[in-house]
Amino acid sequence: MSLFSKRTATSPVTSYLSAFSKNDPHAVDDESSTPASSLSSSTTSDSEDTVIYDDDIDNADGLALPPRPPNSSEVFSTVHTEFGHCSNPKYRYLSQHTSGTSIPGHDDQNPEPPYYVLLSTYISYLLLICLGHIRDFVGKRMRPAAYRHLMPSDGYAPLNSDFDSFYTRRLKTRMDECFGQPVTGVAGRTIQILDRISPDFNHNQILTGSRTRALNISSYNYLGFAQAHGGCADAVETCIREHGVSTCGSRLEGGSSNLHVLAEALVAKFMGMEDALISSMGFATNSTFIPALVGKGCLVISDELNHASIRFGVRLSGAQVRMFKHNDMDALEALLREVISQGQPKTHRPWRKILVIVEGLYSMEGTLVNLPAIIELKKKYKFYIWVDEAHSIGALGPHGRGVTDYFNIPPRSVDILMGTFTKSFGSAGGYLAGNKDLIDSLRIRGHSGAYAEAMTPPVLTQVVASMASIMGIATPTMTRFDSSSTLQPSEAYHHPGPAPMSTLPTWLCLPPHLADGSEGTSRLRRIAFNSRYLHQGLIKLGFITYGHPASPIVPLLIFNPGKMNMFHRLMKDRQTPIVVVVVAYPATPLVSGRVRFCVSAAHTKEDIDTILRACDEIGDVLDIRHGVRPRWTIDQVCARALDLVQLS
Amino acid sequence: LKPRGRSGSIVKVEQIGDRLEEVLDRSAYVNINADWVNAKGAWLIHVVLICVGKLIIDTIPGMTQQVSWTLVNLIYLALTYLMFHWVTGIPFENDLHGGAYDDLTLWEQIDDGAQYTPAKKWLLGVPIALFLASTHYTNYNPWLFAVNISALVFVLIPKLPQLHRRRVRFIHDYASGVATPVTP
Repeated sequence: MSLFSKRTATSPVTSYLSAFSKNDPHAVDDESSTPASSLSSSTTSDSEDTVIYDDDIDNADGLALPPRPPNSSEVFSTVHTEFGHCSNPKYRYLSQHTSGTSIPGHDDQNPEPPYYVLLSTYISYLLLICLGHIRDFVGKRMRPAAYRHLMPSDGYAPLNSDFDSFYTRRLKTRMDECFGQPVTGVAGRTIQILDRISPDFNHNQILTGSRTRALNISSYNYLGFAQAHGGCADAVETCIREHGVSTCGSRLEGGSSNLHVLAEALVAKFMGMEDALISSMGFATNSTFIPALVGKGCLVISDELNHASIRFGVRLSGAQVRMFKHNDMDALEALLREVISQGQPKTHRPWRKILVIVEGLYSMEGTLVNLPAIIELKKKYKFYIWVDEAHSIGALGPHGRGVTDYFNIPPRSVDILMGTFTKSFGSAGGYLAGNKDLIDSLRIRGHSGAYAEAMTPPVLTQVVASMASIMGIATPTMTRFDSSSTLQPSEAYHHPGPAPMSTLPTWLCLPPHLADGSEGTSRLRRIAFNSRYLHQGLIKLGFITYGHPASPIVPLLIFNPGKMNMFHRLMKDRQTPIVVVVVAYPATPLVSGRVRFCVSAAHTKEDIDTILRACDEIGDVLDIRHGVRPRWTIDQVCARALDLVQLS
Repeated sequence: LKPRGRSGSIVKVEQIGDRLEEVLDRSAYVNINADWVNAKGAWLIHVVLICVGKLIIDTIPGMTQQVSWTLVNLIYLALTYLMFHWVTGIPFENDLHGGAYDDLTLWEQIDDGAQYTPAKKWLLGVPIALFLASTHYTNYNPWLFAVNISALVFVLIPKLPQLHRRRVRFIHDYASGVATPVTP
């Protein structure tokens, strides 16, 4: 038998790990705990869900096993490659806004790079555009076969307009190895990418057949619920047996089931509002329900950097639109005074409705909305607010209830809270929460009620299970009524608090660490720590980052288009491969190309150290450190992580 | 887009109008195709490129200062005319705007069509400064002066606020109104 197939106590891995834990200076100081002699934990029923396999693990990239083996007092119920193991109580932080601190406004407060960086960026784009035009011009005459889709033929117009697709053909194709990366497996703490090569400059990508496991700092997985193993996954499997795969209809035409009604009630409780509705697609939640709310004669005031789904919905509605400078409350107030005093264009009649749409957390900048200031303005000018919490729900706030929880604002003071389940709940779809009358009306008047399919039960169960894990499930208590004792379950829900058992489906059975809310709280604190640590760590290393320190989205500015591709490749080719998302013009303004890190609760402090170390090395190679001084070295940053987190 | 009746003149100035849907489409998004002129370094890049162009032209053997400055002036005016006043539309992401900018040149897109903004003042001032430099270095030679000033006037005309969204057409029958131009 081969050396590596024997599962004995004297296998090389066990002896290595027990020796390592004795000498490890970072081991938790617990005199009563002993090094683990058996490596499989028995908390979950399925022994393959466990933590560590002692054979056939290739830990050359450092991703499959935690750096420090667990001792017997630490019990983990997740797989390390999906959700990292970290039981150090110091690596937790409470996500709450300290009153009195200012909320950063628009980009004027961000540090500016030196002039040579900006000038070289302009020259790069100019060169790329000129070269692109020359190649188009020459190519259409020299090699017309390759340009047939761009030229008229046989009296027909060209298939694609060469001007409209200029950017895609000439600039994006050069960087195309960064985009459209095929992946497999669950997008948790690590992800498996399918390697590919391109023989003809990114026009065709050929899969080589091999896979690489990489550290995943690019997926929206804020609370780490993207897991293939665990309580939520088991609940989804149970649901498929109970409810099937689809309800086969739209919500208003027979596709509604009691699971939908129950999930909507749970979402309403989670948000602290009277009622909620659920839509099967996050983009469609905005684009189909904004037209139901505003129309001709109404005014929508939206932030400059709102998502495409909001703008799509506003365009569909036919309402007038005005934009205000990103997160600038003075500009918003000036705009409000102007539009209220002027009224509708040409007729100057008063507007039927004024709706201000903002996002809780902006995904490209990482800035938080200044919600207290907007609520003050609302009291003064009496408009309606729609807060799109796609990225902030679940990720901010001491109880994970989003930006209202973070700023400690009663959620009922916002008219409509909208959000998606994609980012923090490991699911799909979106919701709208508000007054009962409003939601009842939107259920009928929104496009997706009548025309879109109802949310599918397994996905809905993931929503319910993850929400119940974050909230915790309230166990029924006994109360005494006069002389007879009756069992009265505590049905009343106090926001924010645990969900009553009656609001959950009867067949839902979460494991105890998820049901009592302890795992949920731990995840919320982990992501608060991780996001602040990465943010402050990058600033101390000398990089320019945008956004609020509390945001789990950390954009790191790279500026030049040529450096994007190299950054992505250098990150992917490391000993521990890291996949990142690079975003360039036109998704961002011309000179601020960036790489966008999406921190998750599934990452451990060691993962963030890995990323900081990688940025440090690549920052020297690519010259992207233009931030403020004084700067720390990478070892100082890793050692003083707790100080860094307390700074923000 | 009503087809116009035949008019007797060879040249006509036509206003390209906008419909309500296009106004709404334009106000829904920030136009990042035209936003960069207000960013840091966008003004300095003109000076840098002019200096680099002058250095390159000076390397051509047999070049005199007069011809060099005239060439720099003409090439700068030609390229900026092409970029700001000839090309219309946005070369990416048209599903977001729905073709709302397809008739507008980059000059008309800057600052959402507002006039007398700082960016427009700078872009007006650079050709004038370059013209003054070229007349100085050509020692006021009348032929080169004539060439330079006519080029300058040609470039300054479309920058005037009176010509905002107006096109000068020479004997064109242009009724089809196809949003994306057909390549010849």
